[in-house]
Amino acid sequence: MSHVTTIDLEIKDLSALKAACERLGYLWLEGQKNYRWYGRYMGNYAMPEGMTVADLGKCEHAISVPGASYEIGVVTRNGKTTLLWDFWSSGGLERIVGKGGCKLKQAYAVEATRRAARRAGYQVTEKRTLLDRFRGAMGMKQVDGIRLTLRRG
Amino acid sequence: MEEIIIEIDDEGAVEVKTKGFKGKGCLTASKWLEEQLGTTLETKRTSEYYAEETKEHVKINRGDGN
Repeated sequence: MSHVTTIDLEIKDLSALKAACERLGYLWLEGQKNYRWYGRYMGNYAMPEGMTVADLGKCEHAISVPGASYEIGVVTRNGKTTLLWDFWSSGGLERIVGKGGCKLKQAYAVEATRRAARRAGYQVTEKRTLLDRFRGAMGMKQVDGIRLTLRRG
Repeated sequence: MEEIIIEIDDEGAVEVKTKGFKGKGCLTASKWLEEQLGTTLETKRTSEYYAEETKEHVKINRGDGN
């Protein structure tokens, strides 16, 4: 291994986000302009970057997650896509999508990589595996992960 | 064999690694993918990177192409 780069994931490819939803069994609601949430901002958590209270509940597309009563809103501003969602426990999203939407982030990263790699002429193999990761007070820990290997076709 | 390896953990954190590239070529080999996925937070060069760099220096210093 000659270098390791850590990436702050951004949603840049909506088709990859749709594919990620399909991979997880979530339903992509093309053009749905509202997403279900508690309906009132309680002020106990910071707003997502660049968003105001007036933006909550509005979106360009939505994602429905089986087993959750709330939905995820997809909003694109100035080329940057943000997922808006209410993680309050009664809505059921965090229980299924994971803290910070980690399951959807993981699936998106896989699909975005696959698409970008295909466009660049690479063949991709995918494997579920254990990865060594630093987890704060627990130190190094083996966690579930996905490894994609890209080779020239 | 040249490979680009992407590892995504259970928190959705992404690491991109390269394997088998010669010298500094490894840094540019995965740049296009890193840009597609987001913003680079940190790049660490491994011992393999420095080993390849040293080999290149030796070749240049000898100047005989061997």
